[in-house]
Amino acid sequence: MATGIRDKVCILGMGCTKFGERWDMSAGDLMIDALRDALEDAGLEKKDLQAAWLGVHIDEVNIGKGGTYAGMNLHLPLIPVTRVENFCASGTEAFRGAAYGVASGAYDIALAIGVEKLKDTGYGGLPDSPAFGQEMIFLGPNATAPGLFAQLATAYAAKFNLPMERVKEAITHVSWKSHQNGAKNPRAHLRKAVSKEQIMGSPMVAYPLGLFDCCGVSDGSAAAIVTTPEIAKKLKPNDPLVKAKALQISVSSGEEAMFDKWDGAGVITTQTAARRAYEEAGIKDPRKEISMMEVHDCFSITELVTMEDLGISPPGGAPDDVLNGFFDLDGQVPCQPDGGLKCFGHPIGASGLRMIFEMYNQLLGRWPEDRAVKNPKFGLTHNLGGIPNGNVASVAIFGVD
Amino acid sequence: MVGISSFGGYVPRYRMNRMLVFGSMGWLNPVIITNARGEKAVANFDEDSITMAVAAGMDCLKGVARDSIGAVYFATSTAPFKERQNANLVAGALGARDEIRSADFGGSLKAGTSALLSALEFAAANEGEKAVVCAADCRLGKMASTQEMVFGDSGASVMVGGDDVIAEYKGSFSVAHDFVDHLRGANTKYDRMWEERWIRDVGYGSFIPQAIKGLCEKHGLNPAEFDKVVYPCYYGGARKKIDGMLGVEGDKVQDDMLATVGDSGAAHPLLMLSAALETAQPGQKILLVSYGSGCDAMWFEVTDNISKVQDGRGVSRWLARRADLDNYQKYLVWRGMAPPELGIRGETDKETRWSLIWRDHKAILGLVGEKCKACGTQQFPPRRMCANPECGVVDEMEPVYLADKGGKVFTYTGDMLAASLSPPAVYGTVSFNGGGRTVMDFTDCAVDDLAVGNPLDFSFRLKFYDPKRDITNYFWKAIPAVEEVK
Amino acid sequence: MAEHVHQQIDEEIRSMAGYYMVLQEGLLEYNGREVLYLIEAAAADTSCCGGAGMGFIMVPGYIKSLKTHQNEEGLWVSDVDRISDEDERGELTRLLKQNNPGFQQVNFA
Repeated sequence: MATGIRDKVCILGMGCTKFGERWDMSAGDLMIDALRDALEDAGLEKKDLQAAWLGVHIDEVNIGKGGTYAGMNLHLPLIPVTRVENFCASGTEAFRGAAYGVASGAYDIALAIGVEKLKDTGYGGLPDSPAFGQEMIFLGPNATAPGLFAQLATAYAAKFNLPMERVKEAITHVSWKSHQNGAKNPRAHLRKAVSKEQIMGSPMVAYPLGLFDCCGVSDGSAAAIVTTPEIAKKLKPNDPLVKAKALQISVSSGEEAMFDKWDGAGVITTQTAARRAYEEAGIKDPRKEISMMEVHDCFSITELVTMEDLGISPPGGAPDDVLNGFFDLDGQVPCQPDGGLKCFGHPIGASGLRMIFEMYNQLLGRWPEDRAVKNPKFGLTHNLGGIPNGNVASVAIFGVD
Repeated sequence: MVGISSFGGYVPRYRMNRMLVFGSMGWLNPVIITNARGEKAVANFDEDSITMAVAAGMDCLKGVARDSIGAVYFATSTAPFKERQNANLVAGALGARDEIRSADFGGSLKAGTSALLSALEFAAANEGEKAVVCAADCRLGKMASTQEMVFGDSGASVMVGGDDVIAEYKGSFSVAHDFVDHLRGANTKYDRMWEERWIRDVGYGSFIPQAIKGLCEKHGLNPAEFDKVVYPCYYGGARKKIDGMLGVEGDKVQDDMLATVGDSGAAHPLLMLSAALETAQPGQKILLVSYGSGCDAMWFEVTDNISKVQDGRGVSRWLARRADLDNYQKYLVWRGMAPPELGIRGETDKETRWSLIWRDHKAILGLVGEKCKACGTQQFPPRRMCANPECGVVDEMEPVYLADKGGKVFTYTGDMLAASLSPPAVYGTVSFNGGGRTVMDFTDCAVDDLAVGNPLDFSFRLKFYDPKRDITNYFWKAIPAVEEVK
Repeated sequence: MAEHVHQQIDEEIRSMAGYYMVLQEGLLEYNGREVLYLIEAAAADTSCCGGAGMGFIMVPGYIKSLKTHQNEEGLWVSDVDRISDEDERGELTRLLKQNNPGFQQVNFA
């Protein structure tokens, strides 16, 4: 009978580059920095790595296919390198692969590294690719991610009978709060705080989302080195150890897209992955027990509904929680303490690992007081890739004990 | 007897005031002021002759069992394909079965009536079968040309058969003349015309009377006994002369809709006929004449069944649904007359994979979804496995034609980032009436026109154009449900 | 009544997805009062589906008192009355679009 991943995997070390328009760095260059920092943090050398998982979603310009790019650019010692891809959960999938690698007893030390280099296409935004297959070019809309996630807003407003102004008020606070946090973060791409007036004064990009409700592209890399708790205790006998408490992924069944039950106001896969993650981690009351979160705020409306999908806010209660400061850095459950995708941008393969990096460092109490979460017990990361009616969601929980 | 059993029309939503064209181009060719009255109907960026033909056909076939159609004829002088039966795209969109006659009629502006005559002959030779004619045109004149002023875009459709006849077909008379008043070669985009006075006097002025005279002599008719005289001619002087010759005036002369639509080529005679049938009375005699490389003249007698189809189908409700196209450059870009910067994203190769498209062609052309025989769930797109999580059976589906079922807005947005020739791109999730949902482009509306729960119709539109291989690809979009005109 | 903070002209207000800036401030006489409006430009040059942008006009409202004081950042603050009536919004949208061709969006605070 399977018992989940709880307490079977420890993070020995992590690294995360500065995210931004890294014109001077290739994907390989970014990975070298992330790996070096992770090895230093872990107190290990490259020769200690026994297996690697590489998370990349869309960068075919630099990376191509397969795991060879990582093996050859990082000069890894002929170890297995598996390229994994699952939309925005690609970084978390890399972590998952490495975690199962060591939890199974097949390896002692494994590397999870994620990277995305998006600034070599010659135009802004994600490269054009049939991410949903060619059939969808005919049967699907001429859409963008902001427009598809914006659909959540009209559905949410209709479900809870809210005027769109109320939804806008809440998502403005969501963005404002993230920018406040990101301004303090040396690794963030965008480090400028903005006022609520400035957010509300921005133009509409995809109704009802404005310019400040959307994240953007960025280059970046992050890495994690994992092992079992037994080995970690031997290598770091005097240090607190961050353990994985839950690692859950849920992929759409097609029900949201084609069957009539879904109300469009939340994401079923997030709800499912969260439920399973809490069970795996032994968490009974997430609103009280989760100390902090990094969620997928590609769009502020996504973050809003995610608060309910994760069971932190009650149904229809997220706008009130948000506006009461429940998720601010000094609130009950700080959300996006590092600034989130809003300030880091979204190098897709790296984002999941960047979120884990934040939870890891917070749990170890490593950040200066102005951006530290007080006495955290459990940190949750959440990724959501694809579109609201067809996607992959990941929920991971980490703790230190 | 055979005759017309239904009719339909379609006028695109955008109307461009002709004074706007004059204001933009009058500096080059000031004489165009003489054709600057009223407005012309301009196809949206996602419309062409095929899409407008389908729209008119959907109007015509309201309530008609699609299996009863035995032939689909498509008539146009602006067909998007030289080899790929254009009529098959129309037939697929209308939900016709595979075992039918299909044909394209083209080469002139009388192609619409030629198709109608052939359809009537088909119906006469095939008892119990119906034939549908869809005509549409999207012609172009160069900037500052008379043609640009006069042309308009529209679609019209007529269904014929031996049952439920609303206007009995009584006979025809045709003339064919290689009279090159207007010309487009195999690869020419813009219409070229000869001297207008020659076209007016020799063309309209002599061929239309010639065709009508021939018809009347053949059938022992007096032109003055027609209750409605339907023929296209935008030369007011020529029209006066012809009407005088026929001895008809006032209400008997069917409005040519020049001031509200423009001259819409192969569709125009059938568009005018549809408008006439909207208000026709039992017993009335209708004369229909086309013009373009000769003439087809034919006449019909309206039956007692006419009131059954005077339910809002036709031209009026489409005419009433309008929006100003108040920007001349938009018209130029939409019609491919001016090169807009589409950015590097515009260079993306959109190759079409035909074997994949063939597997999906019913879904793409006809918005054909399916219903699960085991649990009754309607769903789109069609798949082998049922989408109901409580069901999930494989290979128990029956196809359902969804194009005429309509739906409701489930969610929506207006997106300024999606590459579009008419930003913002409007799209959202549509709940099909009867069950199932899909995310679709919306068109012919602004974001402000939408709200969750609003009723929607489906409209067959240009989905994307592959300039590298000269392929237009089509699919359905949602439009706010169009009001009936009672 | 509400406060409007006058942002710096031609200064980029940057989001992760792009930036916007105020090009020009204007006053429009309407209904016997003066309406404050801002002519603005935006570019979503770093968004995930980027490359687009727009000209837009923001209407904070009727001026009650123009530039009454400066806030802690040194920006001028005015007192305005928000415009919420649908008919007024419609008419102002029409007027502003007419006077400023090419501007597709008129937003009301």
